[in-house]
This record gives sequence, structure tokens and C-alpha cells, in this order.
Amino acid sequence: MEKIRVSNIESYTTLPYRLLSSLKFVEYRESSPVENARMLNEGEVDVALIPITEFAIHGGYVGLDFGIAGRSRIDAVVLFSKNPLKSLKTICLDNYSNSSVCLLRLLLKERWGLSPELVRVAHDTLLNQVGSEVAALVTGDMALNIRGKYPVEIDLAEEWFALTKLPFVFCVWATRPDTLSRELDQEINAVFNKAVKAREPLAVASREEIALPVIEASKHISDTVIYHLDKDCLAGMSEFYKRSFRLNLLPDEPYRTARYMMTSGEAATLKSPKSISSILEDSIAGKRISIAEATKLAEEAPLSDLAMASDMLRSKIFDKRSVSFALTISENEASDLKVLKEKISQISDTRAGSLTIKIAGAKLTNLVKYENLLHRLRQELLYPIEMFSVPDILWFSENSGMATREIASRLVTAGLDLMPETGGAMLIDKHLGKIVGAEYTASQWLSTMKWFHRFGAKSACSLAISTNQTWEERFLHLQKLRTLQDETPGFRFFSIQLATQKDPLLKAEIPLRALMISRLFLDNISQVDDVDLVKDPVSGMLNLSFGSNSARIDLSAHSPEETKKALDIIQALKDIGMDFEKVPGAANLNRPVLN
Amino acid sequence: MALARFGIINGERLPSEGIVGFSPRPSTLDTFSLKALRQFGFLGIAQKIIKRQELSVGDIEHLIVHAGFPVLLKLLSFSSRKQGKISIAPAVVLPVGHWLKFGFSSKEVIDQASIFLKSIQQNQIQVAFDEIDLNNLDGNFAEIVINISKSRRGLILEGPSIDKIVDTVRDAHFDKRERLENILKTLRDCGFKRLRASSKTEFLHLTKKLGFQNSLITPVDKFSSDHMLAQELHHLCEITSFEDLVDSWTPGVLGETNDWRRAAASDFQLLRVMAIGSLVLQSVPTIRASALYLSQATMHYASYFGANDLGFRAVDQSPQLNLKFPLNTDLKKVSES
Repeated sequence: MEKIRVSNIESYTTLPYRLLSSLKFVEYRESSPVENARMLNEGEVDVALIPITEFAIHGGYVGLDFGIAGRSRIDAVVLFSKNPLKSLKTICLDNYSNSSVCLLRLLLKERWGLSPELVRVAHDTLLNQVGSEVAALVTGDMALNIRGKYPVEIDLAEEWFALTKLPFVFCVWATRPDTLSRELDQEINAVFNKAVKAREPLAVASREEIALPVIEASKHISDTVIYHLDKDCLAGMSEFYKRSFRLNLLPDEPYRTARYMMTSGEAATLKSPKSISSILEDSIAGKRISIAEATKLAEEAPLSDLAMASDMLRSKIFDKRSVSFALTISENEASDLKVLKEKISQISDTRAGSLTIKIAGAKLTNLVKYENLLHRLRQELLYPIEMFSVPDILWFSENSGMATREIASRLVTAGLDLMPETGGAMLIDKHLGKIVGAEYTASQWLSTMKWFHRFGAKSACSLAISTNQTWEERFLHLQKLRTLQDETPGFRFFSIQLATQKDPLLKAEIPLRALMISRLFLDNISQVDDVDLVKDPVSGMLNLSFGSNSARIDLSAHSPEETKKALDIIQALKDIGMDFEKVPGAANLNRPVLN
Repeated sequence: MALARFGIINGERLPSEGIVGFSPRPSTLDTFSLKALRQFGFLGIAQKIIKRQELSVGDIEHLIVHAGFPVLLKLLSFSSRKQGKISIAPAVVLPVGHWLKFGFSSKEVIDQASIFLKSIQQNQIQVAFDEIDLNNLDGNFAEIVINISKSRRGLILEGPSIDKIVDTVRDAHFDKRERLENILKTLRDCGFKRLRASSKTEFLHLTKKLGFQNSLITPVDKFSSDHMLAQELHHLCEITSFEDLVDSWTPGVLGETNDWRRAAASDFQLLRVMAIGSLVLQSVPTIRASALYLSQATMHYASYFGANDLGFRAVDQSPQLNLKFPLNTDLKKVSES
């Protein structure tokens, strides 16, 4: 019999669930809540204890009615501060759990009416950040261990109860609807029930794992934490989803239970899924859609409805479409100001308006050298400068031993404005290597990009379409971009790219659907670029009709004739009634580009 | 879907394997569509299309001037036109007139043309001829065409345009109508099945009566205003609503252009007019996108915008090369030597 891969959360609070490892058909492991969600999303585990935010964001899972919840104070999700809430300017968070962060956002808005900056930091440095105006949201065992050590300690579950009179569910056991047979579902539920009953002796046996007195440790597991999600817990979860959807923090996803209906043996659902029409209306209204909803749109929605929805949303954000240009130069050209000036004056001749300078081919071996180069260029150029990529930074970090945070800080301080999307066009680990030959994980790419955003640089992001991906995987990738953009809003533009130009299946409908749904899904990245206009004017024209708001033209990738052709095509699009901002023309010829 | 393995454009074989036909999913006027079409200003037209009501000149002009690609896609999804398999057929122009001029015998022409046509694997091939001397149809030409038409199954012979035939009889001293009918009957007896039609009802009736399929091309740039184009489409709708007068309709342009902007504008505009024609001309069974007028990249998307037939045409000397006949210039050298 094939084993079911199960992942529990690595924590004292969840120790009753360790009983799952006793099941012969279970391959058991433990990890963080966020990592559990990633593994479940990407098919690395079959059943996992995940944050309820991730349950809603995915939207295609069923719950096993067991999890981690608290009726009032739970001690495991606490805001630690030296001063009262009102004096806080920053709250530091770790990457451990998203439910607590979402609950914090909701409470800040609805209960306290405050808006301090929320900043993610490494888990082990969280408490180092706490100062007169900085608090830390601490979860799990760390929170249990330090309770009582700070002047202000706010238990988020307690605050939620004060707001709603309902319990708060932090995590839920989730799986895909077709993973567990009726028999397996029953066996797992039997172990859950056994674990709940035996939690007190389990707590005593494991008391050395936590720095609490035995009585308190035992009480935490026996009395404070709710493991079986009863009617009240489900009502609390429903209320949280409702409020989060209203605040546009989460998609509108009702909790669905995996309990089997005794008569048919089929998985029961509490609420029927939303219609395509409702999903489209919600997304145009700016509401967040889930991965399951996006997948439903990709698989079932008429192309015409997606086209209208994406164009409506585009026109709601941008009155008119626009054109932007990039000029790629070599490191040598960048080092020689005279050559650079000449290059840029040529660009002026080709009527470049919104221009980015890309410096290509540089190997990051000597950070000081490139800091100096960027510093000099920054003093001379008015245009944004793009240089290096996340894979370059990771390579240098690996070889120099310097943290990516420090590299990002120094390059941005020296004058780096933009990071390209290179290496991050499909951030699912199993696809990453196949598509871009990457030797890093998606999480490394994202955390590196996060530092650049944090220090003020902007970046591009994209989705590279290939035929060996599922729609769900494409939206999992977009979800990672959306999550990072929520934390550090540094993605300046998004584009769709084709992993190969040769596959006829990638010629028409799939990329168009991907573009349209990306416009709807990426509710926090407004600029969607078309990058096809020069080499494939028809695709470019359709992209600009179906969600893209800007045509991005790399002047170095094309001859002056091709660039002129592209501008002519844009004029042709204007001729047939497509709105464009004024394409930069002769008036910009004398624009002072150098100080 | 049976795809032609190639078409011939400007002397080059054009692979068509890459073209994936698109059939819109049936769509309904749900709450989202209602809101969206109202916002875009096309709800009234959508309701008419759903109720199978005729669109007025004003409606058509509104579509021509204001409908973007998303709205056109949506309106097409309401259309009653049955979107079966997309037909992608190769078409060749046989330069029979040239070969005869340069001294090839009828038998040589028939043999070579037959070998070539048999080598094409598709079930259907559209065949046109470079020159048809309408005043001498009874000679060698008729024999050649009859034999070529019998060389294999699935050949659709396309004759000259009705306008050209009418021009031929314009100077006739006796009954022009009878002369016109005689030419058409001869063409029919030779095996021609399809004629390039004009939108004049009188000729559409005549050619239909004689058993021809009428293939109508509307050159979009012939009309000096959107209103005139709307009137033409409305007229075509009226004459095709009650009788099967037109078998296929193709939006086209009058002349070729080397100007990028014009070519691109023409491609984009033809796609739009094709969609609008497909909505307006509900009684015309075939909406054809022709590679004569559209770029290869645009042909990819033609089926999204109402085309249910994609035609690739040979328009130059390439058939001679494919038939392994020498080019005209070489023939001259041969005859001079």
C-alpha cells in the first residue's frame, strides 16, 4: 500500500498529532506551517497542518475538522512590546505562520484602528528587533517560552474573542478532495480523536521540550488549545474568512470539510463553489481570488468572459495604454561615459520616452567594483538602472559568504534601481531547474528579491508558460509573487513569457488565458507588460486588448527598423481605436538625459 | 481536425501545422456578461444577436467604430453560427495559360498537374487557374480543365469572378444575358464549382441557378467611411437572409502594401471586420480568412474572430516550381534557343 505523506507542525502545541506517526500507512514529518502549505501546494505531501489563510488562498482543499484553535487566550500567538500599541511604528513578523499575520492585520484595522509598518525578519532575530517603537509578533514555542517577560503582551486569540465572541482557528489539517479514501479518512480521524483524549499524558511526557513549568505546559495542551474544530470553531473560521474577504486580505473561500457522507461515501461540502460570473465580478471589484478559483477560470470560463473582465479591470486601473523602452548595454559600455552618452543620444533619436538602462553580462565577482560603477552611473544618469539578477546574487553570496541582505543593501545604496525577473519565471521547485536551469529554490529566489524590495529597489516578475505545467501550478507561482508583493511591494511590472516558441499549443489560447487571469489574480501588481509587440505584432495587439496595459520594447534586442516598426504598429493600434498615451516623440529629442 | 500540411504564399511553402483552431465555448447572458456588455455599450446588440434579430446599419456601424476585441469575442460566443471543425485547405493556382503559351502540349500539362495534385494529401484542395480566356473556352483549355478536375477526388475548381465574366460580354452585339449564361454553363460543364461573386443580387441568382457556389469578397478599404462599410454588410445580410445566395464570405483589401503601419492596421481591422461580418451574415455558412489578405501570424487568430475556413492561396509562380516546370524566364530562353 502506498504511504500517505503527512506533515505536522514542529511545535509543542501540536505534539498530540505526533500520534499520526504510529499509523503504518503514514509517512510522517514535521515542519513550519508555511512550509507545510508549500509542500501540500506543490504535491510533496498529501495531508498537512496548514494556516487557515493558506487554506483560503488555495481554495481547493478540504479540511479534516482538526487543527489548532483557541477560545480566548492561547499563549502561542502573542504581540510582545515594550510600550503600548498606540506608540508603535513597526511590528516585526517572522515567516512562520501567515494566519497570525492576517489576524494581526485584521485586528489593527478593525479593533485598534492602527497602521504600523509590518516587516518580516528572520525567525531567530525577531526579538532582537523589539524597541521603544517596534514590537514583535511571536508564534509557536518561542511565544510560550517568553510569556511574562515584556511589559505589553497581547494575545491575538484573546483579542479576536473580544471582537467576535468566537474562537480563532490558526491551523487546520487539510488535504485534496480526492486524496483520502473513506477508510483512510476514518483511520486518521480515529487517531486524531485518540490524540485529543491522550493529550495530557503526552504533554507531561514531552514537557522537556518547553521552558514552562509542567503544570502550565500540561494546561496549555489540555485546556487552552482546541484540537477538534467544533461548531463554534467553524463559525469563528467562517467569521474570519468573511472579515478578511471584506478587507481584501483573503479570497472568499468557505471551509469545506472532508468528512464523508455516510450514504454516498462522497466527500461532503458545506457550501457550493462560486460561479464563474461571481468570481469575475469579485475580481473586477478588486477582491482577491484563490488559486482554485483561478484554476476554475482557466479550465471552464469562456475566453470571451475572461477577455472582457481583464480589459475592464485594466481600464479601471489605467485610462490609457503606454509604451516603455529598455536599452541593454555591456559592462564596458557602461564604464565608458562617452560611449554611454552616444548610445543614449541614439535612443533619443528613436523617440524613447520611458527608458530603463540594463547593464548585461557583468559577473558579480567584486562587489566594491560594481558599487563604484553604479555610484558613478547614478550620479550621471536620470534613467533607472537594471543590473544583475537574483541568480547572480545567490551565486555571489554562496561564493563570498556574504549574506544576500548585505549584498542587496550595498547594491541598492550604490544606485541599483531595478532587478530583472531572471530565474524566477516559474517558482515551483520541481519546475525551476527544468525551465531556467536554476540551482536554487523558489524560496531562496523570493527571499533574495524581498531584500532588494525592502531596500527600495523595484523589480520585474513574470510567468514562463510551458506545456508541462498544470494551471494550478501556474497560479501557485503567481500566488508566491502576490504574497511577496503584499509584504514588500517592489514588483513594478509583470509579463507572460513562453518557455518555448516552438510548441503550437503555446501559440494562442493558453498564453492568452494565462495573461487574462494573471491580470485578475495579481491584484497588487498593476502594470502588466506585453513583450511580444515587435516580434509578433498580432499577439502583442491581442495582449494589449486582453489585460496588458503597456508595451515594453527592448531597443537593444531589435534593429532601429524593427523599433520603428513597433512604433508604427502602436500607431496602427491607435488608428483602430486603441487608447494609448502619447508615444514619446520629437518633443523628447532634446530631453536632458545627463546631468 | 484535418490540417493542410502547407500552403503556398509568395513562393514559399507555409507550414500550417501550427494553427490550432478555436471554437468558442457556448456562452450565456449571465450576470457578469450583462454588466460587462452594458458597461461596454453593447448590451442591446448582444440581445439582438441572441434573439436572432437582424442588426441595423446603425448597429453595424457602432460595432465597426467602437467594438474592441473582447466585446467581439463575447458577441461571437452568442452567435448561432455552428462552429464545426475549422477547415484549413491548401489552394493552388495552376498557371495553365502560361504553360500553353510556351508550347507545352495539353497532355503534358494535364499529366504534370495531375501528378502534383495527387501528391497533396489533403482531402480537399482549392484549384484556381492563372488565365482563363473566356472567349475561347471550348478549345484546349476546356479539355485540360475537365481532365484535371477528374484527376483526383476533392478538387474544388474556382472560376473567374462574375465581374470579369460580365466585362467579357459587355461588348457583345447580341443578347448579352444569353452570352453570359452560355459562358457560365461552359464553365460549369468544365468542372468549375465556385465563382467569385459580386454583391449584385441579379448575378447571385443567376450563378446559383446554374449550380455554382458563390464566394464573396468584401474589400474593406474600398469603402470610404465606416457608414458605407456598415451599409454594405447590411445589404449582404438582407440578400442572404432568405435565400442561400452566398456560400462563403471573405473580408479582404484591394491592394497589397509595403507600408508596415498600413499592413498592421489592415490585419487588425480585417480581424475586426471578420468578426463583425460573422455576426451580421448569419446565413452565410462559410466565413473565410484568406492568407491573401492576412499575415501568417494573424491567420493564427482568425478562427477566434469568426472564421471557420482558413484558405492559403498560391499567388505567384511557385506552383510552377512545385510542378517542376521551368519558370517563364527559362521557358523564354528555351524558345529563343
